[in-house]
Amino acid sequence: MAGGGLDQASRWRLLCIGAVLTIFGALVAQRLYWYQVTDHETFTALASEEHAERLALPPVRGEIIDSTGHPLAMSVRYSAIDVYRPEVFDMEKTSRVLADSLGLQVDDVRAKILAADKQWTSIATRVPASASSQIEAAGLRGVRLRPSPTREYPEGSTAAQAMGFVGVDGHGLSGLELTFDQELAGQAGVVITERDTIGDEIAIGRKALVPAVPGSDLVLTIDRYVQHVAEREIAAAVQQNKAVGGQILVMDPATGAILAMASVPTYSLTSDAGIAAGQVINPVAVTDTYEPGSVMKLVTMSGAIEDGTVTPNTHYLDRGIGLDNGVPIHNWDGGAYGDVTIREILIHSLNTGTQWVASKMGAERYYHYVDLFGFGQPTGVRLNGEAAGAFRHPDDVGWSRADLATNSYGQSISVTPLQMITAVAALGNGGVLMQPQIVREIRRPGGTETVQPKQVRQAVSAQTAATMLDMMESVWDQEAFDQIRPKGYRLAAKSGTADIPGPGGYGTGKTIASFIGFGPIPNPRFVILVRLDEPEAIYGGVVAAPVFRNVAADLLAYYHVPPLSTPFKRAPQ
Amino acid sequence: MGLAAPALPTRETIRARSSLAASWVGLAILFATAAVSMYLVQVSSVATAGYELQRLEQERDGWIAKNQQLQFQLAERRSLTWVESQAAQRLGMVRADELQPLNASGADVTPTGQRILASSRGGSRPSATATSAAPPTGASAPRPPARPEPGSPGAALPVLQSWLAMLTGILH
Repeated sequence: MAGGGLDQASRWRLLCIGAVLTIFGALVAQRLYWYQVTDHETFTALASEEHAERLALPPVRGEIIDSTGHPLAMSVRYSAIDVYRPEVFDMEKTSRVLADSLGLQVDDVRAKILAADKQWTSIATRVPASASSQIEAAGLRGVRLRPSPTREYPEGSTAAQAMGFVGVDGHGLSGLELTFDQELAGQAGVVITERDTIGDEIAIGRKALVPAVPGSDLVLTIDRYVQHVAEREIAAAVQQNKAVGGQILVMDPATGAILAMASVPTYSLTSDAGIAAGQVINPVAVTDTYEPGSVMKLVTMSGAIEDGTVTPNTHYLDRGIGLDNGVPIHNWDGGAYGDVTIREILIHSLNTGTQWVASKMGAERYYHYVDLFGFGQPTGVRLNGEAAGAFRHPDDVGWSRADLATNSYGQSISVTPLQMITAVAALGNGGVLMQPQIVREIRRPGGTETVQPKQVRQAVSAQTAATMLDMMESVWDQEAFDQIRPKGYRLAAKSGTADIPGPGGYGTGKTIASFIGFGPIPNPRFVILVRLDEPEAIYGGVVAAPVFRNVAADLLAYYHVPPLSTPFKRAPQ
Repeated sequence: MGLAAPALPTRETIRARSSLAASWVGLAILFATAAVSMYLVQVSSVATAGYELQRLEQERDGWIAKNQQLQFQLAERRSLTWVESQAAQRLGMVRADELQPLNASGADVTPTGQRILASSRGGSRPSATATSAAPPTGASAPRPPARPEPGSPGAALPVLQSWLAMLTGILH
């Protein structure tokens, strides 16, 4: 190559190579820019996900506590044991250690391990700390422990329907557990750690922690002792009277606080077998309605006295049949009681007299008081699924004066047991209707919210309420209850017996027997509603009154109410 | 005027310079080694602390779980069902038949008074409620329950003492 210069072809080749290299370099640079700058966040996240692990930190579910401070439901952290056959190194040792720790047979454990050849399989849950620490210390391969929070019930199935239960995900499915699920559940936390290639945490890796917020505790108005008494008595009463079911509600009339809500049949919160057929999980005192029968006469009489239509001493001539509202109305025993006062109408629970009173009031005024006492609308108690009850107003299609007559003594009107006790409780609270309460406090991590008693409205005047209490005391003081009356105590009550309708009307012969009453008079501490469904002896005054007496006697002792030192003498009426 | 030729470094000078350079290199290596060692020691101690932290966290979780389980056991032992079952099964107690209020001071009391009276009540189940469809009024009244009325006389102190003994037994 003379002259040392490049020929034209070589120059072009070099130029092309240079251009290609330049373009290649530019592409690499562009790609690098894209990776490092444009999509930096995406790739950082991808890289982070590759070796970072996010572990959810489940919050501790709040406790449900009774009004005396005893826990009814609490969350306890146990361990669950999982096994995976392909990773089990020493089958004999693993089986033996697990069997010894869990109190199982070695052969059973071995069989469970052998069955777990496809995936990690749980062989035990609710393992206490003493056993789980033994298993952990043994360092068994192919065995994994994981936290297993479990809802526990120190008082057994007390108030099961009101409290409700949680599902396997730890969230409420019924009762208060469902209604207050957000409060009880708390907020889950998270911990982010770096893991090595075999999944172990890198001790010097980055670690981020967002702690879980524990759930709030609920303090109920339910008193475990009152609830215990109510459950004991209703279970015994249902059995003794061969009833298909029953309920007892106890309320503080001054605040509307529900002290007990017992029901039969109910369900078990502690059974491993879950809920069996025939068991009832919903709080029927709130969700189910019934025809209250003669207990409703208290509402009729309250309205009539408040309106000035009658007084306790107004006279009525009972001929054993009432025709004031267009249909013949008979008394419960078919009898005629002659000249009676309003007080005696209540004492003898006369349907004829009561429908006469309603007729004198007129439909508009009568239903005005039914509305004032809260019927036909939910009480607002904080339990899911509350029923409103139903009855026809005069402006509803199909209403007739027969409705007025039958409604006046508690037929053709459906109410919930909670509505009934709330309405009657107003008579023990100076005529003020209170909103029933079942939660007294919500104890949050940041502070406690106290639920104050809430007045709904003045249903009747204090004077009318006092008159009604006096008339109810007359009912309780009648000769029929002499044998069951606790000596030395003043109580006030009213019985109810409602026919259960069937496809052909009210001739089924089955009844709902109930009894409602206050104690002690004149300043009631409690109001008790007893209801028995389809008892063998059909009358509320027969089957439900002794149950009321038993609960009342227990509560008088529990509240340290001393008996009168001298018998109470009623002034002549 | 002639210029003097620069003096060539002597053998000793060259050796001294080499020695100095070697010292610097040695020092540098020593410093690097020390720095690396310190880093390794630090990383090692962080790793050790990390593992210790993990162990302590696990231990703490174990204690929390154990504490929760004990709290539950304690609540269970304080439950009415447990106390009642222990009183009946372990101590052979039966529900008291009567409630005997005692007036501690002898002062008159009223149903609405706040004076606390000693109470020995458990209360037995009524042996019978009404078994016939008798009306709530008139002659066919409900049959009386077997349980004596509150206020009727009875030996309250022995019952009280038995309850106290039972509670002491359970708590210990």
